[in-house]
Amino acid sequence: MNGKYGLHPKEFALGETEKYYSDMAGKGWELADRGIIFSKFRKTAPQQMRYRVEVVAPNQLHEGTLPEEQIAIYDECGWEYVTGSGYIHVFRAPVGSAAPEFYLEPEQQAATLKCLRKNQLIALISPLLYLLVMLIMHTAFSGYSPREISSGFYWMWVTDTEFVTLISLTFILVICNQFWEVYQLNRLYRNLKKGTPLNHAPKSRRLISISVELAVLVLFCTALGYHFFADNSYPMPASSADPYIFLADLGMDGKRTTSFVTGKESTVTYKQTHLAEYWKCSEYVSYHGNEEWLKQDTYILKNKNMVPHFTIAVMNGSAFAPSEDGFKPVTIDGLDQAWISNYLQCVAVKGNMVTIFTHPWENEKDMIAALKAVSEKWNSVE
Amino acid sequence: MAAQGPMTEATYYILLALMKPGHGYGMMQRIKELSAGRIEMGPGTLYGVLTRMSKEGLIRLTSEEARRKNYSITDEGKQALHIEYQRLKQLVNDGKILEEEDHI
Repeated sequence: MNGKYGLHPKEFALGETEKYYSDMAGKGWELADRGIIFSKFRKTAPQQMRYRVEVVAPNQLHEGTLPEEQIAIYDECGWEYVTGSGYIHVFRAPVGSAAPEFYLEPEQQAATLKCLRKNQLIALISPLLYLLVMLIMHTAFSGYSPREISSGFYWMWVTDTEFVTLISLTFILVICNQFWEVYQLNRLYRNLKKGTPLNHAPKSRRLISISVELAVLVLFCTALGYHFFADNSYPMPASSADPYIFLADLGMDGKRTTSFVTGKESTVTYKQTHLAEYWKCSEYVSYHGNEEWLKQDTYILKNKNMVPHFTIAVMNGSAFAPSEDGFKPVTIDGLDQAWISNYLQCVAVKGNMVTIFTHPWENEKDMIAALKAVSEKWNSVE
Repeated sequence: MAAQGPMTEATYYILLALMKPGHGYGMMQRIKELSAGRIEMGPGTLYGVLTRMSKEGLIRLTSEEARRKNYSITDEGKQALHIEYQRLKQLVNDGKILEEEDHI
């Protein structure tokens, strides 16, 4: 193997970066190139080399590389320019050579860190600013009220608990890590300003840094896994003990067909989260020459205390009623609560079960009949 | 020229070295001579100060040969250097009481 890649320390860890490259050279791996995350090494005989890092702002580069004059001055002092990426540029000189340290006084080196500090601060503020702008844009231009947006978040929290938790943890970890990096760089800056020279061989914190990055990656991938693969879709059975109803329960016992809009078959998507079980059903039947359809979201919450808030979230997130105010309460035997809205959507609650279903009913009487069918199903399941 | 604060040691010696035009490494050698080996300027310090002084008009580029750039001090640079020299002389004069104290 004539070459290999290594994960180098972060940009703010100047002394650690220098030690990392010096150690690699001592093991017979000479730095060949530096990327954003990885450095490339080529195999050589073990060499005792001093590596030094220079922080250079992108606006001081000429066509992406260090100015020739700068390389020449360093070269004449005994420092060979190796490579650079982003703000970091690397020089080397054999151990024991007369090449002087880059700076006469640490304060002068502190001045070079200003661009890195600015960049780090932008990296810290950007995701927070992005979130804030998205939230403002969503509130201002999506047509949803803050109440509907907060209901949406609550619904998502219940039906995608693991995803929301893991994504939130990932975000918190990333932000904490950014804060830690800002703190470390500021500490280095202050020390240099006070006249303490850069430690060229500090204790390595790479293990911590790599662990945090791995944790972020694992959390993020697990979150995506939960989001995309935790549900189970299957063709809708002819009958089921699960707490959803069929068109047949409403008297429409025609033959199953496909959606005339999407061409999809009747399906059930089941998902279980830490807070709820969730059945999302779409059913299509041909009945007296018409296509009849029923869309239904049924939930069993694991904590009954969440039911009132969740029911409101479901109503606020409904496709046709403008909000919970668009629903009219009705009394149905066997149900704790029930609502109907503009001949399209009904909501039913019993114990820790909540359902919202959509169908183009012709009158209120049919909607009441549908809610009674739900009551019958739920009470028979019990 | 704007009111001038005290110069850093690096700026002072680089301006002194540039009383005779020269390039980066030559300046470093000259500074070492001028300071009798006391100051060995690093390339980071030298390049940083040269870039800043060039922007401030204290030095100017006179010629380029291959990767080397030759600089010389400007009139403004000379004036700044003289002001700093006078300031340093004044500091030394003011400190003479220390010698008088030593004789007592």
